[in-house]
This record gives sequence, C-alpha cells and structure tokens, in this order.
Amino acid sequence: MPHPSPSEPNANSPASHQLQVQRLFVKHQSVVKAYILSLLPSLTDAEDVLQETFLTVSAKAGTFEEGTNFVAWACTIARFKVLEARRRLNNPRAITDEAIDALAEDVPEPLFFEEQVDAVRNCLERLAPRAKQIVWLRYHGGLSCEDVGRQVGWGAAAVRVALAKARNVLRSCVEFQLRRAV
Amino acid sequence: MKTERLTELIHAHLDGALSAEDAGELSAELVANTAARRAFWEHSALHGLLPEAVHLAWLSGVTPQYAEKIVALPIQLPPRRWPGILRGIGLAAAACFVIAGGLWSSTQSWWPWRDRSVATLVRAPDAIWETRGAIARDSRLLPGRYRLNAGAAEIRFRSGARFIVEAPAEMDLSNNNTARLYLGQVSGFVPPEARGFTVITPSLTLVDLGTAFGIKMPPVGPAEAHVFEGEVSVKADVGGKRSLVRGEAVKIVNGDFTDIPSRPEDFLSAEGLAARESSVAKRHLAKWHGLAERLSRDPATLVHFTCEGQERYDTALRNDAVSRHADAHTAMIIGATWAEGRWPGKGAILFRQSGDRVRFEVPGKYKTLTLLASVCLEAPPHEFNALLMTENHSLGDLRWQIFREGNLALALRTGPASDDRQFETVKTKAIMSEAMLGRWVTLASVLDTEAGTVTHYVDGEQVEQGMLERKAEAQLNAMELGNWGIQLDDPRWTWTKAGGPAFYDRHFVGRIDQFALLSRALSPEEIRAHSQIGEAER
Repeated sequence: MPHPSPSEPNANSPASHQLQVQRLFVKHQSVVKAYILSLLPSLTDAEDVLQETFLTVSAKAGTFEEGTNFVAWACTIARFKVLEARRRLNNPRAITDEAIDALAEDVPEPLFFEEQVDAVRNCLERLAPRAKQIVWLRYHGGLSCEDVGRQVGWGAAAVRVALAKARNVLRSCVEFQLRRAV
Repeated sequence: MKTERLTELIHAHLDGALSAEDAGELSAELVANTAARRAFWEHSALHGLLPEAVHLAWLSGVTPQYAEKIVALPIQLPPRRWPGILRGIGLAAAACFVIAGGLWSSTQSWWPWRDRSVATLVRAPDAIWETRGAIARDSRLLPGRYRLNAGAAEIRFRSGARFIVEAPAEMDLSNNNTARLYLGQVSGFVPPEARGFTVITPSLTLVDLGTAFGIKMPPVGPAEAHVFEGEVSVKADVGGKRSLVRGEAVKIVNGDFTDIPSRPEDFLSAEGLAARESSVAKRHLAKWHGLAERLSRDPATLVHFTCEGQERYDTALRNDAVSRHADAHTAMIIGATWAEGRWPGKGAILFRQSGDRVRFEVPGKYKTLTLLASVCLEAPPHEFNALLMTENHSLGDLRWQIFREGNLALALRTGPASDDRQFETVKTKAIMSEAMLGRWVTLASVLDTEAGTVTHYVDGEQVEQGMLERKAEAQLNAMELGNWGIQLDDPRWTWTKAGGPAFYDRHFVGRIDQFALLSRALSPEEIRAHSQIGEAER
C-alpha cells in the first residue's frame, strides 16, 4: 500500500541537522549506554542519564560537525551528565569526580561494539545454570543484588561473589572468542 | 594496591556495594595509577555490554528457560528530576525489557513492582521519540504522553488492539484500550476481543466496534475518520454522533460531519511498516544485484551461482556466468535445499546432511583461478568442511576447505602421488570461530600457479598469502560445492577409508548464497567490493 512519506524538514536546515544527529545517537546509543554504565553502574540511573544525554545531544546538535567522531562527542556529553547525576544522587559510596575525570583520559576506543556484544551473548551459554540465572536477573530484570538474593534464596554478598565470578568467566571467554575471530 | 584488592573494589563498584571508605580508596587509586584505570575499563566494559547482550539473547530465544521469569523493570524518569523547562513537553516513558505475555499473571505475585504498562512497542524502524531517541523493539510502554518526531511505530495495546502511528505525532497512551491523539495519523486494527477500543482526539472520539480504521489529526484543518473494515462509532466534540461502516469516511468541521472518500492508501499498513523495517536490507540486496550482474558478465567467469531468480522446488542450480562453458549450464542440487540468504528475499542453498551437495562440471586446466563464496556456517566445523572440491585424483586437483580450527585453506595437488602427500596447502590462521556461527562471511582465494601464490581474503580483507613450491596448473572437471564427490568403493579412493569418517566425510553444514569461479585473479579492490556490501553505510 503506498503511503505518504513522513514529513522531513528541508535538508540542510538546522532541524534536519538535528534529526541527523538524533539518528546518529539512536544508532550508537548502546555504546553510549555501555559507557555510562561503567561510570554509573546502576541500570536505572544509567538509563536516566542516557535520556538526559539524548536531550543535550539534541539541543547541542548544532555544535556537532559531521565527519568527526560522533561516539566520542556523545560520550563527552554523557560524562558531564554522569557528573551532574552524581551531584544529584549525592552518594558518598560512589567513586569521586576526580576519579571519573581521570578515567576519561584513558577511555578505550569502543571498537567492534557489536562483535563484543555478540561474543558476550555467545559466552552467556558457558555459565553454569545458577550463575546464568543470577546474571539474568541482575542484567535483564534490572534487580539489585539484594533483590536477586531474595529471588534465589541467597544473601546479597553471595550474589555479589557469584556475579564477580560470572563476569570473570565471561570476560575471559569474550577475550578468547574475539581473538579467534580475528 | 594489590590486583586482587583492586578487582574486588571494581566489582563492588559495579554492584553498588562500595562502602564510603572503599569508594575513597578506589578513587584515589584510579586517579594515581594508569594500570588501575586500565583494569577498571576492562572489568566495567563487560558490565556495560551485559544488559544489551542479555536482552539480545532473550530476544533471540537463546535461553527460553528464563524467559518466563523476566519481568520488566519500568524505566521512567521521575518528573521531579527534570529541569522545569522540560517538564511541559511530555515525557516518553518506556520499559526497556519485556515479559513473556501469557505467563505474566502466574509470576506476578513474586514481582516487587506492579506492571503498569498498557501497551507494547511491536516495531518502530527509524522512529525517533521526543526526549528519548529510540525505544527498543518489544519494549513495554507505560501510560503517558509520547511524541514521535520521525519514522513510524506499531503499538499493541494490552487489549489486543494494534495501531500504527506515523510521525510527526503526539499521543497519550491512556489505558489498555484507550489512546488520545493530539497530532498525527494512526491506523488501527481491532480484534473482536478488543471491541470498544477508543481513540480520543480534540475534535472527535472514535469507538471501534471490531474493525480496521484510520484517523488523521493534522496540525491545521479538520480531523478525519476512515473505516476500512467493520464499523465504528464517531462522536464529534460538540455533540453529534455517527456510525461509519466499511468504505465510509468523514471529516469534522465545527462539530459537523462531512462525508469524504475513504482513502486507505493514505495510511501505513502493518505490512508497509514491516517492509520499511527491511528497507535497509533491500538496499543492500539491490546493491548486491548490481555487483553480481557485473560478475556474471565478466568474460573470465566460469561459474557464478547467484541463487537468485529460481523457484524453491528447482533441483538444478543455474550458472549465471554469461561466458560459461556449454557443459556448465547448470549444477545439480542433491539433498541440499533452498533457504534464505544474506538478506530477506535473497536465495541460498542450505547444506545439512552428509549427502548434501551441489555437483557440476567445468572442463579444463587453468593457470589462474579466483574462488569466491558467501557462506554462513551453522554448526561447529568438522575436521574438514568442503567449500569446493575436485575429484580428478590427478595433478592439479583443488581442495578449498575450512579446517576444524577455523582456517580457510586452499590446496593444490602439485605432485603425481596417489595420496594426500602431494598436496601443497596455504591456510589462514583461524578465521571462523563459534562466534561466527550463523553469521555471513565472504571468503575469496586467488590461485596464481605462474607466480606460485595463493592469497586468501575474508570479508574483502587479505588475511594470508602463501607460496607453492612446485608448479602445476589447476585441473577442474567434475566438482562439488559443499561436499567431496569421492566414492569409497572406487578403488582409487579406498585408501581414504583408513582416515575414517572424519577424513572422508567432508560435508559443509550451513548456507552458501553465492559462489563464483573465475579464470583470472580478481583484484583486491574487486574482492572488497563484492565482500563489503553495505559496509559504506556503517
């Protein structure tokens, strides 16, 4: 069935540029989210920051030059949003702003993001059933370690140990897979 | 700081379990120490990848045993956190994860959060939502205001009613069976169980009585209601009421109904949206068609199986090479079946059983050959996995294979002996791995017997070049794609029995959606062009 094409602002207009930038964000938002999660590990907080990053990216679309590294640009904005969120959350048990700034100096290039996600996905199958369930509840259900513990009948500390172990297993499996895939 | 302590602190950070002292200790270490920062990124990168990986695994049903336990954690920005200026524009809120529909009620009791979602996002290719960007496919949608700035979206309400909304649009998902439309156009499909599905706009309220309909709510001008199937009841904001049946449409001006022609073609259908979703794939397919056509016309192309333009019941595979040898018009498909190739709508040959093969013949000896195939391995490799094998049992025999460790190898028989010792093999390091199962890869190998070189390419990149010590021209004749056509009871091949099935059973498991054999060396640029369709867009 033919359909009217969605109305698009004129090419080259600021609105069109903004839409382009928003599209880029949509395309790369998994990478940006992964970056945010490293600094702000709570899944819900990270999701909030991702949304705020999108708003700022939209508002500042005019300052993004096409052809330059979009992910790097968006991640810089995301870092400022993380710092803002930290001030708001005011959590003394989180790493400091100085640490976040220092970390920003050494951000690894988010190369081959999709390959890495695929590798993690394959490696999930290597986990023992209980470890898999815990990873699942934590990362798919978005539960805290305490809530995961309630689901599986363990203490939060035991869940954390299991999670750390599971992540280590996954990490070496992923390294192995990526090395083999050339 | 000791590595163990650092790792412990990083994991505690990731799980929100740092104490205030721990946080200080970790922060100081990160500020002071590059190695600590590197370790931090190494560990936390996985944490960042996991939600996406787990979600994809869930979508692909890799671990269905956990599906029923997965319930959505609605992710919604509490309005208080938003700067005042943004508060007015209406927040699009969405859950990132999904629950398995039917099992919801039985697992609801243990779930600490009440599921407030009223609808699910079925698909939304290219959609951009105000304040939100993309919303993942299959996300549950909480009640509230949504603004669609670009693209189109299909939304399924809990009642079973579905609608497709096209940008620019602004709407409010009110409850399981009601939506408000402030701007934009929607087409709705309402099954009997969702009768009473209601769309409220500023100038009309439409109550569906089990049907398909469309509503237009333009920024300026009158609202319109169209009925494609069944019956709806339309109430104007200032009192009037009308029943509309199939083929009828009205616009509403100052509360008055005016009949207009019904125009279903103005509205995007579910099929249209699904097609739009695959339009990227279509573009790639079109680009591939252009390149494939050129390859077919190349005078040096001996064999070109494009797997296109054939019926699914065909047992012959057409050789599309224009200057093919008269004897090489078609190939026999034995056992193997037709399947989908790299893109929706692209044909491929699927090899599964040990007898599956494509058999054909090209007479002659060649100094130079290019072999090119797009393949998708679907099971861990056997000891040997045949891509293309000749069976002359004489000088010039070719074996193009993938080895168990994942190496791509081309072997040429350069000596006259009756066993494998007279083969010279050039192989790559491992290029296939478990991670590559189910993924398409384009493999190409160029044999130049004059120069004595074999060059291997994977997805257009040269990965290996090796030398052959002895000289021999390649000899083709009868060949098989995806298998090795030897007869164990033929005295010439009985010696292979000693190697056992792992040696003589070399069938390939997976799909091949293009194979080309040329009597010249394709240049690296040509191989790249044929291998990297769609790369430029990435």
